Amino acid sequence: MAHRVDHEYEYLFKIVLIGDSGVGKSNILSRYTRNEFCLESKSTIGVEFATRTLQVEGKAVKAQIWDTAGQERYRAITSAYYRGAVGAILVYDITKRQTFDNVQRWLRELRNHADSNIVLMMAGNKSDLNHLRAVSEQDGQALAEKEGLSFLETSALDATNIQKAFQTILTEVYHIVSKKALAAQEAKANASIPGQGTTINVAETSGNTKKGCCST
Amino acid sequence: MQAMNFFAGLLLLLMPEENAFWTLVGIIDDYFDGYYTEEMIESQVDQLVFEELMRERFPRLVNHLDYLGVQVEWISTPWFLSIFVNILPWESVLRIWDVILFEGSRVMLFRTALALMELHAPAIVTTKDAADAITLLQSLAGSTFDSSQLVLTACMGFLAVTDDKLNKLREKHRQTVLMIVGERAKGSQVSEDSKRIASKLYSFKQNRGQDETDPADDDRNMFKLEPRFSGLDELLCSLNSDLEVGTFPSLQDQVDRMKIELCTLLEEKRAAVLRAEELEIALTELAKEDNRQELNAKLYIEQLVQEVADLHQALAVKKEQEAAVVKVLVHLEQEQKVLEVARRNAEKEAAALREANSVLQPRMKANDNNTITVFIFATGANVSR
Repeated sequence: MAHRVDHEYEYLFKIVLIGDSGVGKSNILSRYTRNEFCLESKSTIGVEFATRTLQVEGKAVKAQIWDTAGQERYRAITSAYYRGAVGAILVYDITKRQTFDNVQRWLRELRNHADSNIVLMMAGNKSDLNHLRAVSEQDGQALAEKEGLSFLETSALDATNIQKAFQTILTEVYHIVSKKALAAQEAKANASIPGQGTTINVAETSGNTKKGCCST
Repeated sequence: MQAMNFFAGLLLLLMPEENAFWTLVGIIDDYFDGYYTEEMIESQVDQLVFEELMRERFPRLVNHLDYLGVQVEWISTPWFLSIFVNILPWESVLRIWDVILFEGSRVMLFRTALALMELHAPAIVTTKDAADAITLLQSLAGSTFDSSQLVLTACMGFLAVTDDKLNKLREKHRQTVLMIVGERAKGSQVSEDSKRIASKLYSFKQNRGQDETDPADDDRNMFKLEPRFSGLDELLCSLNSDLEVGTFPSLQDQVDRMKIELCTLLEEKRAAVLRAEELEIALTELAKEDNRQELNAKLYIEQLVQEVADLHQALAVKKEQEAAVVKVLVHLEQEQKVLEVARRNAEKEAAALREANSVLQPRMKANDNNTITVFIFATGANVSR
């Protein structure tokens, strides 16, 4: 599935994995990008990455997935990683109630530091440990609905729903971006019609923004 | 906290549990005070200091990272926090730990990180996006097997990075970090406020859902919501840059591009000059060391010569004393001889006297006898009469 066709993609989406320490973010990443799972993985310090190119509605999309350190005190540092992210997967551990309760804090963190248009998804990981479950699927579903997030229970160990989770969030991001592209094209088309001062401003704004992001 | 487990593990490999614990305590308290605390203030300060050093030493590399949207601290934070454990190969880790423990400060962290950047800069400037740059740097660090080269580059190449200099820079950046941390603390208090913003965001999302069904409304809504779109706009432009680049190949663009090129070249020059200065400092340092050693050797030779002269003098004095003693001895001998002669004379005299005595004694006896005889004769005559 993972086509290693670097620089041959139409869209590049940055997705961040967040959630408490030990919920399995790094293993979700390795399962998705390398189809690997390691029971003795070491804790993440700072950030790690992996990329995977996939097809979303016929377009080649390169997903650049950022795996972050989950520990509380690293938040001051990791918040910088949210910049430019178009999607975030918020992971909790279904066998640890505390990690589910902290979802609210993570949402707050994202709303304070990430782009306001970021697409969010919540994943209850370790669904293979059903006998140790401490958070019911209904609880997860209810919270997701309340906060307006999409929701899946996943397992990096047996690969349940890992593909689906990324496919879902990337498709949602793609819809927003392609719609935005359409809107921008329309705005440009409108800009060519004389007598609409406001429309011209929009076009210029987008031009300036482009320069801004190239120089950074 | 995460990262401490890495080097705690290293310590446990080398010593029993209790010693490992106290070593860990010592390292954290003495060398990394304020590093592994709740706020990680000193760690953040060090990152800003390191970024400034990077800008000073490797402007071209940092420019490239800026262009890719990579912050230097994303790479260096794990390096510093784990003290290179699990970052570099074991041999390199242990050699760097040797220097850190020997010097007793964090300077070596900075020097090693700068050395790593220097060793791998040529590869990094060829990368084309953020993830590639960071992944490459992580894998390169993990394969820095030539520990001698690393330690040498770190220690000799960055002599100018000293504790004093770092402390000055730390002072400068600590204010910024404290301010940001303070603001974050405040931010979590006013989370209610952000919740309101969030709910606005979601109502906006729902609006958008409706737009899809009603394209006629689209334009109107879009302008109304324009400010909030700016973030996505930026994203969009970066995504579509391939399509848009070259649409307006104006003179202004060319001028801009050339300006940027000029800036890069100037910065490269600056970097080269800085590097040259660095090397010069190292060279003069070496030369100084040489001179110092030569001077020391000279001093030592002089000392030795002096000592030899002293010994000679002492020897002369000793000889003199010996001669004097010999003289005294000779004198004594002579005196003894004189005494001997005197003794013999005295003995001779004594012998002569004894001889004389023995000669005189019989004569005296005879004299006595004569007297007695005379007396007897006299008395006999008297009796006969």
